[in-house]
Amino acid sequence: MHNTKLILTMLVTMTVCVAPSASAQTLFSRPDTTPNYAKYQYIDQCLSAIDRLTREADYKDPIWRDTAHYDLIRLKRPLPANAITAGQACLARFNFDTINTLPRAREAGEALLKAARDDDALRLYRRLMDAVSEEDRQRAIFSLRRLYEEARPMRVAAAKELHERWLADGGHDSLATMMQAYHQIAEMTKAVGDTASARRAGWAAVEANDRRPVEERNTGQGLQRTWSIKNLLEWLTADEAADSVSRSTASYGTFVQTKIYGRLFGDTLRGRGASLGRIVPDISGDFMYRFSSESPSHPAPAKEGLASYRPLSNDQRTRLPVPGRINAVTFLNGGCHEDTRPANNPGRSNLSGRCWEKISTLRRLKHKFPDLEITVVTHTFGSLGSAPPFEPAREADTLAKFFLGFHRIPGTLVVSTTPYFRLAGFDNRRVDEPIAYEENFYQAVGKPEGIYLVDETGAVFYRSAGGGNPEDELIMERLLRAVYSRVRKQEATN
Amino acid sequence: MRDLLKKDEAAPRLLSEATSKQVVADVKAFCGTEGVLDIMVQSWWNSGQRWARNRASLTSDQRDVEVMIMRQLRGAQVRVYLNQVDTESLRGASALVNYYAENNARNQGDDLVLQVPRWPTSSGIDVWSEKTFAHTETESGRVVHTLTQQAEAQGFLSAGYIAANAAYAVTYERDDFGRETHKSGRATQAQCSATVRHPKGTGSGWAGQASFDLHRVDFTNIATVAFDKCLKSIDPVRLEPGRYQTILEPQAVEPFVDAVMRQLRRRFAERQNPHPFKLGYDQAVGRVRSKLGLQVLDRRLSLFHNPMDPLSGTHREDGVNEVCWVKDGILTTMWDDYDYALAELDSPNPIRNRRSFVLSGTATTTMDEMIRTMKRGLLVTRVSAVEGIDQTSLLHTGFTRDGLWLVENGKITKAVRNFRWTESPLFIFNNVEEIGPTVPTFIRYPNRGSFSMRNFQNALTAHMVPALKVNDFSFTSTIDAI
Repeated sequence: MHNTKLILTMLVTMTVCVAPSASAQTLFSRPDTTPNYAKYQYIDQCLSAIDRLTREADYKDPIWRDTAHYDLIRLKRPLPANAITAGQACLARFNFDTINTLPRAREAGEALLKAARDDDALRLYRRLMDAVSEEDRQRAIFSLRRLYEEARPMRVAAAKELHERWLADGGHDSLATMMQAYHQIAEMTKAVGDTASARRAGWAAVEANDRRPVEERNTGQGLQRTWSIKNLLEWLTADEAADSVSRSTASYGTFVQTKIYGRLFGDTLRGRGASLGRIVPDISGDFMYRFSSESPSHPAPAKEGLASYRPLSNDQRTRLPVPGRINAVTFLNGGCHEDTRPANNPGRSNLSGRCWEKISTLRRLKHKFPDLEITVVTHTFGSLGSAPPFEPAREADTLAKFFLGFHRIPGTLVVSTTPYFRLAGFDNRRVDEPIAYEENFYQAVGKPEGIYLVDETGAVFYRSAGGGNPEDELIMERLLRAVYSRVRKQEATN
Repeated sequence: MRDLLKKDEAAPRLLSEATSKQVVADVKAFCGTEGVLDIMVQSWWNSGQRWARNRASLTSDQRDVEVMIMRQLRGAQVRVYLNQVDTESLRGASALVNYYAENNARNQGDDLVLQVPRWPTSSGIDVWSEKTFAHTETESGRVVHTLTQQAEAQGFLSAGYIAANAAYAVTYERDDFGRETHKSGRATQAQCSATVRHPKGTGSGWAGQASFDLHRVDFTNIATVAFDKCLKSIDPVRLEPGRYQTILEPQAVEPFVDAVMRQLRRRFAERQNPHPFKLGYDQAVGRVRSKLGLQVLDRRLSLFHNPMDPLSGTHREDGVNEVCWVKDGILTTMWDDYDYALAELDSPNPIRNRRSFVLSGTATTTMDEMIRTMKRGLLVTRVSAVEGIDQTSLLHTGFTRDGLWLVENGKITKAVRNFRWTESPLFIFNNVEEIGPTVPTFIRYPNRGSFSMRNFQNALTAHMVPALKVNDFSFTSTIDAI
């Protein structure tokens, strides 16, 4: 009896010990089940699975936007291995030989490329092209080309080949579409470092533009297309530009007018070239702050807490742009302010877009050119984020905290108080009036937007479109290197 | 579950204050001390009794709880809702919020936003009636029995419903600067709607009342009025459509006032899209002007919200005093959200939307007097199926329902078949002949989802409007429905 009791006790104990731990699944933890992708019934389910795994991997290993432009990430970064494996497992059960319509082929082609089955995707499209009419064949080529361009990593060689075949077959219906096709090839090949192909295609695009009538290049949609290859032309002529700016700003101005704007738009004077060589009026404002952290530019704002900065009293203020130094002057106005509101609703209020990109560009430029003097000009709006309205001084302090502390812009922040009046009666809305300095700047130089690079004499030698374009940044970098080289030579001579 | 959702009747209908606060305290403890934290614990109770063809058809008692946890860390915001208040569930939900908030804040630079003090929000609401909250199905059953018996005794058919709702919420807010705000709010709603119809479908009468306080819902009066209207509307005659001088009973006026109220959002009136209260673009200041300051209604009419009116329940809402939208016909105020108030007004006190309203008029007269002084016109009990047709003119269309009579030489002479009408409230309120005393009307309370204590703004308590005698009301066609 005693033994029986002991055995029973042991059995109970063993049962408790070997029983699987009841890992309680709550409503808030993901169930620990691995999906069997091989059992998925539809191709779009495979695509969803691949996309989900890709998102999860990207989420765990994000690329900070200061590191590289998003498009470059997309072009170069392969899909995560587990997404490719899942795609292959999922697609193994499908027979692609039965697909005979373009929409289905597009879905299947995308899935095949994501599963690294490029040959099967090509075979699928070849079979489709053989079976359809000439018109549909062109659509199929276009569809496949888009798949190659949008794949991750981009299938540059294959897309380029299709582009070139399309051009050779006379698929383009105008010089503008031909220009766009060459432009696309140039952008793709440039992104993956195939500079020779990029230059060839780039010049072909520019030459296609040269052949377009001047009226078309300067009006409506034609004008937009002309603008679209401006950065490409700047990239193609970067050596020449650097050479001219290393001689003088005036020489660079002439170069820009003749070799960039003259070539793009014909014998017309267009926009941004007009500000080159103009003298920036002395920058003034009611409040000034100076960034003073040791590590000015790297890597991410606010991750290490706020950077330090200090207000400048009247006697501490220096002339801006700083004479004898190379300056970058930019305006952070409406966009940045608007984006900050309301903070309690980030879905709509992310400080995103050009403002962020412009600030990232400034930080990187300062990192590469420590002598660069950065001046950020802004003005008060009366309120920021979802905070109750500010007095101008307090708003200026908050802006300094935001731009210099939080965003770590390594330079000087100048804040003007915006004059305003209120509409009479029940309306009572605030109407802002023009700010004196911005008006002066507009009259003297041009629109207060983008990044202006100003030489040691106070003359503008470059103005970027918005400030967040990676190509603009490359050009700015190139020009700054040339200008600093010239300045150092002059200093050595003196 | 701590003290909710137990089947025995003795169980509380709402989470108690102590339990709600304990849930808040638990979540606070589970979530980190950094960043913004919002917690809302809300419980609600809906009870209802429905009847049709003189027979009770449904008795319901629904209760639920909702816990919302929102954490915002350097701009990355995560929000979770759950309807469980046990410690383990709260811990799990808080862990989820913390995980995503911290990861998003670390990884997604795009979401970083300027950290500024947040707007002060309303401190709560208290529109409460113990009578409503204590209402039981037994009481409802008794009322339904009386109403149906009365109809059955007269050989008529009766249908309708009685509802009593309540909600209680406790919230906690912590801003980027660590400032904490605790709020709580509670509200009740009660309503009764009854329709009496002739068994052959030749006549129909309706009456209904709604209030936060069940004391103010007079079941006997509802039954009497519905029965009386049904009796008087039997065998209606067909009348030519056209423009008639019309007496609109308060219940018929209410949808038109509601339509105007819905357009009082300033953001929409001051942009380029068509809007009834948009004036036009003012080139001198570069802004679209609204009709603020201009006459939009009859000079004798005023439209306002009075939170202290005992008929609408006494609100306890900081910073929300009486709001006068239209004073003596002049548009004086429009409501909008914080964004717009900040962007356009730099205002620390944006006028928020109020769901209750009062339309009142000077020189009021009684319904009997309106009828006595009418030479030839129509008397409308209520309207239904109201739909907007045109945004700019605020043109609406709908049907008359449950009692429409012809008035001739100061007397009601016959029941009239229902009409489709097509009319704009702006036209109606600018063609007013006489105005009655302002009384509460029946409101169809929105479903539970809208009876939320979130923001403490949505306690719909009362729509109070007068009867109006208006000229040239446009009835566009007769309809067959009784």
